[in-house]
Amino acid sequence: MAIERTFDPGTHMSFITLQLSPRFLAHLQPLLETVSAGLRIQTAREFDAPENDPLLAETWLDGLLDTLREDCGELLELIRRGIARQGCIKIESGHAERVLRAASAVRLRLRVTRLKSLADESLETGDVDFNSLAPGVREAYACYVFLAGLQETLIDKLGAG
Amino acid sequence: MGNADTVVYPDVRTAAALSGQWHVVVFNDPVNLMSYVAMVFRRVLGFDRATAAKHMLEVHQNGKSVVWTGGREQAENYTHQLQQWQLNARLIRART
Repeated sequence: MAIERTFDPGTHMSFITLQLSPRFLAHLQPLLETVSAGLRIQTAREFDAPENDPLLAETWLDGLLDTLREDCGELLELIRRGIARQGCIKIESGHAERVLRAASAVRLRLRVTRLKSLADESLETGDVDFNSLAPGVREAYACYVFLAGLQETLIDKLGAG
Repeated sequence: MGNADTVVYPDVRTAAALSGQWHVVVFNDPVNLMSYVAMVFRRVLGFDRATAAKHMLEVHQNGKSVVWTGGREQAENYTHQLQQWQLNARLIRART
């Protein structure tokens, strides 16, 4: 993965550009779309509103879902543009937060759905025999690891860690 | 203030229920990266690098960290923001 941070003097915007395999992105896209569709109606984890107040709970959850929908939309659009541009992904620094949050949400959802057969320790250390995984689990694990790498890259390039 | 088309719901929670000090507590999860958690602490709570790292390590090693204590309204605000960033954050009343 080639990474570059650039500044456009015309627009005064800075970008983080990554060059990835378009084939890999195309392979990832259906899974991301499926997971994101689920995240449009349900948060990645169960969040409790602060107290047993139905109106507050509804407002609380609506706020979380609104942000989640926008964030996942940004991530999906990034992947679609990347496929169209032969693997070149360009993230405007101001939008990086959305991508970071979306990546976290997708990883959380993958963990409790398609990767639940894997132990926490294995996922944290990366001690996973990739070739022994069932095809669906393999795909989910590749996505999980890719998004972690994307997050690390963005955090590093933004100087935000 | 609202116009004729705006419905304003009064906050009917009692003053007693909202009073006092509240903790914003972040609990560990096996998914979010340590660098990500530290970054979120800096972005949402305004921590410097050292403070963010300290709380991140508390979450990682102790299972949780109290990242802020104060009035209810601000505690709700922080908790919601941290949850928007996909952290396992909860609002807990501080013991008096």
